[in-house]
Amino acid sequence: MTPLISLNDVAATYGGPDVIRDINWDINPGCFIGIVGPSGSGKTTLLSVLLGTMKPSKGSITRQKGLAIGFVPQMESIDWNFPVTVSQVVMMARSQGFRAPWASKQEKAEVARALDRLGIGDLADRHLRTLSGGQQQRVFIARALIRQPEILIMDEPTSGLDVATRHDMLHLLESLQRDGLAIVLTTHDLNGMAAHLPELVCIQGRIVAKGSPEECIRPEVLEEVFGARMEVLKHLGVPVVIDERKEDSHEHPA
Amino acid sequence: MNILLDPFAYQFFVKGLIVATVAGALCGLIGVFIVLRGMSYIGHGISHSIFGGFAASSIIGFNFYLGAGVWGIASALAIASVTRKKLVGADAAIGVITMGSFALGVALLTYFGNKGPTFDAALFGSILGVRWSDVYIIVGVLGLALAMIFFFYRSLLFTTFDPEVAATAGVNVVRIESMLMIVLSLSTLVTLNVIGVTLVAATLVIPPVIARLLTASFHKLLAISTGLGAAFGFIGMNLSYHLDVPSGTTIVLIGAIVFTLVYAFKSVRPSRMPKVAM
Repeated sequence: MTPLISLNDVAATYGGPDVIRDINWDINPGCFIGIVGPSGSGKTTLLSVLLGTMKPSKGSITRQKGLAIGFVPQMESIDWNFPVTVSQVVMMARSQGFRAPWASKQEKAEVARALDRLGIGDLADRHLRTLSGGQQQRVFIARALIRQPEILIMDEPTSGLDVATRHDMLHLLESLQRDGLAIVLTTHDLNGMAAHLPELVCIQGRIVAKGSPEECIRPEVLEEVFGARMEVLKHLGVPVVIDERKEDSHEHPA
Repeated sequence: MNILLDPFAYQFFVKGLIVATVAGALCGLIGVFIVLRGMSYIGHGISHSIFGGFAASSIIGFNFYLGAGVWGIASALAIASVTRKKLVGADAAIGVITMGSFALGVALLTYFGNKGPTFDAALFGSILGVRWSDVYIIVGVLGLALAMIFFFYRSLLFTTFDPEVAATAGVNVVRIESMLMIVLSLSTLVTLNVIGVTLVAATLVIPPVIARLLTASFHKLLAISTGLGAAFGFIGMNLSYHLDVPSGTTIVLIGAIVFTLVYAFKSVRPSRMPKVAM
């Protein structure tokens, strides 16, 4: 299988020490991978390198010829008061080069199809700020899908969502992946990812572990990635992480 | 009624009125992108930066538009470039680059003396020096701005809303931002005659801010802001004549009064805020 994106000994920096280093990673068609790590571990930098908005300071990155990448940014970065409707946000994906300001019939149909596919077809004329968190997330996925990408890259898609909405979101992503889309996302949410994603990459500047949740969610890996001792239990065959320090401080107050 | 029509008997007033109205429309139009990008301060900065070019071209006897225009565009592109690299914030980049340029302009004029328009006219605006060539130039810049917005409407919208994702979606963000900065510089430059260096920023900011209170639709925002800018220019110029106050101050004061009224109305009647107006 030819990888969609292949990183070979990649390092990246913002001018100081390397933020990520020694990254060797093949992203294959149809994969569903969660990049796990704490703030400052290099998750977003790694996404920037995958997207091509940041050049590696060392190593090389190879993308399949003509690879179309869809990107869904962190919802925290969005200006929710910006004067645009749902359909206008989705239409932004068709902004390259010279185009008439108004959408063609074909483009309108494409937007309607993308919104219907994500179950938000009736929200096309609504302003962004009037939507729930889960609906807002779907709008940006629809914008990414309009370009018919082979791979969807998402920055913290479950951040700020309640438990039910997060489950809905992950089920939606599973269905997109079953349709053949490769998905790579970043997250802090270890337990949610362990239950839904077949493959994880744990990073702390470099790749500490990658593989199935069982292979990655182990106390020694988590201690290196998060700098904290954590206990891992199994529930219905799925690893569940418990923060040991909280348990200790609860049982033995100072 | 005759009192209101009196000033139209003077050529200088008619020319000034056309320039003020078109300049208001132009700044209202471009201002939408500036305000939504959180760069309201840039108009203030570029107008001060252009003052450096104005001083330099005045001293060496070079064409005002060419000298100050090149200076302003260079400053705007420098700001955009420094901001993109994210080593310093946009506000800091604007402050350093444009205030340095303004200080240079003041130093040059103080040392060599002024050979062009007066210092006061440059700072606060004057319609006395407006020529027909100024009218043609400002109409030309408005045409350029409209053409840019027509042909790059979607890219401008995308890069204003979400520049990082626009770059990943194949939009040439650097080119779009550079075009916007060039048109912003030209708009500021051609507006200086009537509005003046110190008040140009207000004509870029006040119309879109008021329009934003009135609509949640992007294309309506463009139309309302442009219309408000033109109206402030037209009314402000007439008031300037009758009150014998510099044109820049009356134009900006009209805008500030309208903003206060709209803001007060929206504060009292928040339920009338447009929910979805597309």
